[in-house]
Amino acid sequence: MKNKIDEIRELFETDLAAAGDAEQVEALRIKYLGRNGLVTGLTRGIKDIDPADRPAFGKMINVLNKTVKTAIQEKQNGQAGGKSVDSIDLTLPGRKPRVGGLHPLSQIREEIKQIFGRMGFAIVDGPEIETDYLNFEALNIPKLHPARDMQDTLYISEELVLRTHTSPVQIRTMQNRKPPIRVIAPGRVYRRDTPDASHSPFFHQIEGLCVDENISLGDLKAILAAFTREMFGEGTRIRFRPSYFPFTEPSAEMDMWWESSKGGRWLELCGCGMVHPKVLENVGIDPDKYSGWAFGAGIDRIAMLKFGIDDLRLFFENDIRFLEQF
Amino acid sequence: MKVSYNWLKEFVDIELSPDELADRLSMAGFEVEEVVMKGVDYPGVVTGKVVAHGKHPNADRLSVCTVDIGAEETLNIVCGAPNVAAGQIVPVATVGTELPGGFKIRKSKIRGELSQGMICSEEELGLAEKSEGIWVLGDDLPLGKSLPEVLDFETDYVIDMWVPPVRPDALSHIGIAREVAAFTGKSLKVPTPAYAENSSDVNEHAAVEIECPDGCPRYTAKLIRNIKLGPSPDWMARRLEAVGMRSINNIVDITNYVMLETGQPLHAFDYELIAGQKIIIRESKAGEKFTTLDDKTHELQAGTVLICDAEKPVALGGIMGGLNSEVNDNTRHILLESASFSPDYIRQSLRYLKMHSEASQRFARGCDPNGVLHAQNLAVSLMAEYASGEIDSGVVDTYPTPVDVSRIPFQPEAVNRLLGTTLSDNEMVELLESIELTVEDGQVVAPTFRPDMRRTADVAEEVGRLYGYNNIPASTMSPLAYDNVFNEFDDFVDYLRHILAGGGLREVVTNSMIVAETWEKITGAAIFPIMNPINQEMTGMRSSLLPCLLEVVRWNKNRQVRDLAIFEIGRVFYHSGDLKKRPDEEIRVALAMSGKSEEALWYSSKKDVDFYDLKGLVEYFADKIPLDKLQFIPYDNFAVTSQAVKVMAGDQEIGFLGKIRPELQKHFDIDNPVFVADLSVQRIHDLAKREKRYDEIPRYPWVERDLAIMVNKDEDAAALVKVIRNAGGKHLQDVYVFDVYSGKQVDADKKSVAFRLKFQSMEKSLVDDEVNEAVKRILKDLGNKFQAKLRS
Repeated sequence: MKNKIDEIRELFETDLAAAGDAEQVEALRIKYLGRNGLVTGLTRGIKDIDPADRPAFGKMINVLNKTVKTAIQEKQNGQAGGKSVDSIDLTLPGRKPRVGGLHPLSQIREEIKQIFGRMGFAIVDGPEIETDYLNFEALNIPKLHPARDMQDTLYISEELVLRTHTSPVQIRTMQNRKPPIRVIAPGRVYRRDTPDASHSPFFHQIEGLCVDENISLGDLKAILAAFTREMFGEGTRIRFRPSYFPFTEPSAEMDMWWESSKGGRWLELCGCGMVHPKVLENVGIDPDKYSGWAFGAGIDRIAMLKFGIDDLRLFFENDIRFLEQF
Repeated sequence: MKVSYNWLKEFVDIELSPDELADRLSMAGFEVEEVVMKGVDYPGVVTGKVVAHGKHPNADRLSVCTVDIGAEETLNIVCGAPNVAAGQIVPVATVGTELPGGFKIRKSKIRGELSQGMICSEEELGLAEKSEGIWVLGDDLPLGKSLPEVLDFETDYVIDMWVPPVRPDALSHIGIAREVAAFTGKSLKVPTPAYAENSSDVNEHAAVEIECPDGCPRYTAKLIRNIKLGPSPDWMARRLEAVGMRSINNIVDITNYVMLETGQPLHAFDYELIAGQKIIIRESKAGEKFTTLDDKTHELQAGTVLICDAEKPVALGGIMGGLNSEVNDNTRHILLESASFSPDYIRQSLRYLKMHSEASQRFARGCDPNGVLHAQNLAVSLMAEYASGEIDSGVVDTYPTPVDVSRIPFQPEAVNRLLGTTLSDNEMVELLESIELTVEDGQVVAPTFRPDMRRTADVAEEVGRLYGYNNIPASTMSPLAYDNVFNEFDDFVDYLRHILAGGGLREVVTNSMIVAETWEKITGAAIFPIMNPINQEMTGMRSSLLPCLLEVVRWNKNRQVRDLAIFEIGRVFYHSGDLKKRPDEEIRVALAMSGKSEEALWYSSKKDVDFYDLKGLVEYFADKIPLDKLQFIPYDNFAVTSQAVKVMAGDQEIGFLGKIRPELQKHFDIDNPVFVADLSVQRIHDLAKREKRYDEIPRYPWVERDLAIMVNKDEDAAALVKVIRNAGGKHLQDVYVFDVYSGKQVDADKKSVAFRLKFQSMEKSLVDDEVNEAVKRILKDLGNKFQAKLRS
């Protein structure tokens, strides 16, 4: 009996050394520990041994059983000797798919779109090369109006301009649809500004327009308050200041209280007001019956505040190390 | 517009501090940019006497002064001012002092000479825009004293604010004081100027004739004789300097001072240089030449208002006086103009003259024709007092069609409706009256200094502004229904963005203005030019996203980032052939890949990006949309060549993809090959199969067969697949190319292509015979069409 046990041990040691990959180790397990395995056979044979010798042989068989089990397990864990083909370095980084992402401005644009979408606003759009009429005249800014000096315009010709604001989309919308109107128009606009940390010759605005009977400045305040709350968090403080835009009357500027490491201050966030009666007349909407509000805010500016970006040019340089952060 | 806090106080009692006042002005619609103190109370600046001064040994323009500041030891100070002299008492900034603007005085060596402080000019103390030399305080003042102790100098504050372009009245101290009075509940006090007059009647010595009342509705003149030209009194010079105007002489300063106080620009002529004692106002003729007092000669277009004497033009009305009639050292008598010019004429003229002056800025906005006499009288009274002028009695006043106040129906309900308020009529009237808008007989009467008041919306703004925008309640319930005009296209574009980002591409946003000339040369097509470009880098509107993406590749390459996979969705502009006609604008999506296909990590292939990486992305992209029947057809254009295909969905072209032409790559100074795709978003949108329908999942097992065939090297895989599909029968579900091989074990002109075919039926388990039959058909057709042989 003892010979048989030693024989199996020796055979196992030879087999163990030869077993390379996981499949072979599994075959090894079956050969020794399986239902018809060699070690299993020994255990099963105990009952046939002389009762007097049983404890001694039983102990030897048990030791063998344990040795085989441990050796196989160790091999399966890839720890036997640490050099087996099956062992892997668990500290290596995992394989990752190529990671892409949306530009921070697209992320903010989408967020704005969602917020206004929840409030029942539709998205509208207009061309970036606009007629002088739609960019200026229809918005109550005739040729010699002093407000033309407020924005430095890039021209294609006397008749065509690179739109200086998203406001011509107001006109396009009102020309095509009758009240009630409740839309936002995000888009690119252009100014004749030399690029620096806070200026870019092109940037992005979001225009809002709401026209119906009995629309008031109070409604505008409510919507813009809801928007700033959703965008910048509960408890955001805003204030409204009188201002001037040729296409709104009354006109206002909305400021938001902004805390930074340099302390708190009021920041201009958007220009707004009640659609000027002349603008309504220009699109054939009766200002005695209908009223409306409009606002225009900078998407880039909102993104700068949200992400703590202090240089507008970063958005358009598209340095991958910048984009990767969003 | 800069206003002086002290000056405002002459017209209204102000209990607010300058900063508080600034906040209130901002909230009233005059956004304050900054408040600057103008005073002499600088800790560390003391009086000192220049005891001795000599030339700096190492610098011609510097001198070394010994200055006594009343301390035990005198100071050694290096000074660069030309006017420094022994005996002067001067302001000395001692070591440690911080001057306005944050400049800190340190003990230092200047060109080898010790300097223990600085002798200050008015400019350095923030009192003047520009100083020629140091500020000499006098020669008999106590030493070592702070400036407020020895000088009679009233500290002032300058408030710099934005003024709405339609508010000419607010470009004046009285105008701003009126606003301050309104929001502080005080009254506005404007004293009436008083002066003594001669018995000589001005109308006998000067006449005015207006030939163009459209351009000049009113012209008034006074005659001031025997003036003494000299410097202005200190207080006046200080005020002018404080708000940013240089003091010149008492006459010019008075006209400026009155303009800043009242908003009405004036002009002083040398009376003896006015020929014929006569002023004629007419429109210029095209080509006329005129030299303004800054010694610049302008060629005039027709329609500029010209002030002429009996012989010649003497001023550009409302814009600038002429060199030929300006006040000079020999001037004895002044003809003082106070007139009104039409904004449209002024703007038209400024536009081509490219001039800008304090006067024209005000006339361009529209000065009050009924305010000219007050300004005239104020100036005359000051000239009498500060230039010893003697005043002819009366005034020459030509005002053919007096301008009346405007009347707007008073509609309180409309105002409340627009604002969302519930103000009573009386509350509104009170608010309006605080800025001199009165309500009479159901009408709001707007004085002529408020040309912006035209309709009820204007009244509403004034009511809202004075009531306070922040007091207007935000509505608690919105009265408007949901706008159900759904912009499906915009959502689709957002969806594309997400698909591409999910495919491992980074979105970029680039400038749509590019170098027109270069891109035109590359594409051979004209692009929309910009008439007044900012610089030579932005001369036209892009007709393709590719130059913009290549620019991003270049930018990153120059910053050591060479492995890129980027995309942009943006507009391009196609020349309409006519600069008066809007171009077609198209939204396109462009992709660009360059460098390694994967990050260089332990497991990656370290393989360079190639054609198939990009093609795979476009296929993935099309699959997600989804686009049907995608085809890639060999192609080349201005941007791509050789490894390039046109991308089709069915028979519709949606764009192209391929390897950038080497010359283009070189132009953008990029060293790695770049693969790009450029597709039309509109086309993709229109062709997208939007509806998603469920297909039954097959219940029976599939059978796979692998087929390696030998064909001529130049056969396209796509053609082979097409034949296999056609011959494979209805149970052939999928065909994959799983290996392409050419090399040692294959004839030189051949290649081996291995296909995996997947057969499956919806109705039953397929038997080998059926599959073998199909494979036989496939081999036969491949043999017939391509002389393909099964690889053994």
